Amino acid sequence: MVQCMGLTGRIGKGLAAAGAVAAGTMIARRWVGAEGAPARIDAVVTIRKPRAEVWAFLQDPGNHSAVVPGLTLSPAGERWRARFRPPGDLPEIEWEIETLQAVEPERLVLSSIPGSDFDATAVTRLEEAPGGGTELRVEFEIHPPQRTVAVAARGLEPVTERALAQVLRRIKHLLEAGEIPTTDGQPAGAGRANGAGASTR
Amino acid sequence: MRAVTWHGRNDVRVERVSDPSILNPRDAILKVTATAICGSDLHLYHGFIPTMREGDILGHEFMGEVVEAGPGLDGNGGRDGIHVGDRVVVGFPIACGRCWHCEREEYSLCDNSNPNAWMAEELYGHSGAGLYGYSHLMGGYAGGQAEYVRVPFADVGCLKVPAEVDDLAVLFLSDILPTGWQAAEVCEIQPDDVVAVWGCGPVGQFVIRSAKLLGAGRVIAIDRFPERLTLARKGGADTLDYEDEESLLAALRDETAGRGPDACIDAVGLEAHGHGVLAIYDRVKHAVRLETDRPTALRQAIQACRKGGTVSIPGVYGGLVDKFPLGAAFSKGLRIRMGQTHVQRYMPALLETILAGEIDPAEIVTHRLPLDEAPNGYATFAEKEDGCVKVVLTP
Repeated sequence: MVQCMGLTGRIGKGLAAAGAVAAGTMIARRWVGAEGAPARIDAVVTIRKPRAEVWAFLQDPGNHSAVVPGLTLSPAGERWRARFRPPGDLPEIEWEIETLQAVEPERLVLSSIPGSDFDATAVTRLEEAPGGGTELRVEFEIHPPQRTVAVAARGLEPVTERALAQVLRRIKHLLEAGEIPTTDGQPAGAGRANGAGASTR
Repeated sequence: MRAVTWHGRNDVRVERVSDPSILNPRDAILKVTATAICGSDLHLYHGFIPTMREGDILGHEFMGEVVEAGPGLDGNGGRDGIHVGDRVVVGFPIACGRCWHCEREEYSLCDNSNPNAWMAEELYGHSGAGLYGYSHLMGGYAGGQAEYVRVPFADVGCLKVPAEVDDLAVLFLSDILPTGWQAAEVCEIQPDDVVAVWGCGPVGQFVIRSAKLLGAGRVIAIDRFPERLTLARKGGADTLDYEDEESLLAALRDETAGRGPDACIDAVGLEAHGHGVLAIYDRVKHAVRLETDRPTALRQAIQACRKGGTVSIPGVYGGLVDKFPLGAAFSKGLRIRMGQTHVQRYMPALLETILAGEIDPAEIVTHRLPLDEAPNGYATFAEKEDGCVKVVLTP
């Protein structure tokens, strides 16, 4: 049964991943052509935490910016407003999201409001993993904008699938290890942006 | 600070770079007191490991003093905290200690430490742990051949060492001692077993000593450099100079009355030497990058091993090999064990082994140089000049 949960409902993983795939959709909008068919992407990860803990993590809007850099969420009445600043020179985009279904801690269906810049539906499923933990699956159906070439949208699928997989991986990192591994800001030698800096020791 | 940086094939330099800083809660910053050049660093030096970038800081064997500790290192999950002033040696795989693999002490398979896991997934299907100074495929982490180094997940990677023990006694807990130990341990050595070891470099030396400690009846070490063979004999092995043998395989059959060694350990890896048509074939294909790895030692190990025996591979392989004798391995029912070392699993017990005087890691060190001499150290080690077996750098 599909039900609209509104602001008091759930937001979840699909919302975070939306930011990553939104960048792909922005690129798709630059193609010109006939109305396109939806692109479908999905990713899955196993997290060494119980479903209730994963579900709770997904409910915290603050976690979403951590796993999708550039994405911010804010309440907008019964919905959520998402803002995403893609890397590079692409412009910031906004869209509103409503929860179509939330079955704690198993299933979450989110959708952008019809007519949004980013037009997509995300289905998030949490299943118990063999031996403990949670299998977190996210499936996106992205509707290319009018006049976008369907082929171009499909061509983005590998890119956006990698982005989605990276989002799920970051969720796993935070839940299991408490931090996302990084080398951003570490030293390097000549020829690199962060090379040959000042020595303070 | 000063650091050893990679700039291309046979080109490492000592440069001034910015200091490392705490980037994550479980990071520590070490003031490095000793660091070593690993045989696997020579694969980087020779340009055989992909995804290196100009300016990368090298080094995955290091130890030092904690000079800064992140807020997540106060101690939790049953682990002691890491604090400023601690003297530690650091395992080369970067491991979170909390994922499915780390819970099984498979630290080199950690799910949560490689920021570039997607790269490894595309090449290997899955990603292992991030490694210090060992390509962007393995995370792109700055290494420890430097005055200071950032240590992620320091509560898992650092082993505190007693103040009274010399650096050289414990430095190799970072890699090559546990690597030699794991390579021997996975062979499940029995008291009468004959263990053959290809390569008497630093890892091979610790394979020999580990096999003896694990009760091998006899260890046969194979190399061509006299100083390495001498060191192998000092460790308790009988030796074979493969350049003196018309057929190494025949020699091993003869040494084992036709049975073949019970365990054959390839401590050579992807830059094996050898002679004969197949070795020339490998060198040519390797030189033009049509083959990423030269598996001469591995082929021989598989051919030599007794039926039902174990082939263990601590030597590093990175990509694709040609003429892999899978049929021999299959028809003889061999068990093949391999992989990066789960260093943190072995560090505490091996420290006790060192403190008890059962193994003396310092005996393999032939060259001690200041950090600024690292380019010379790499060249000397790569060419095996001046009797070089192991180079330790002091920042």
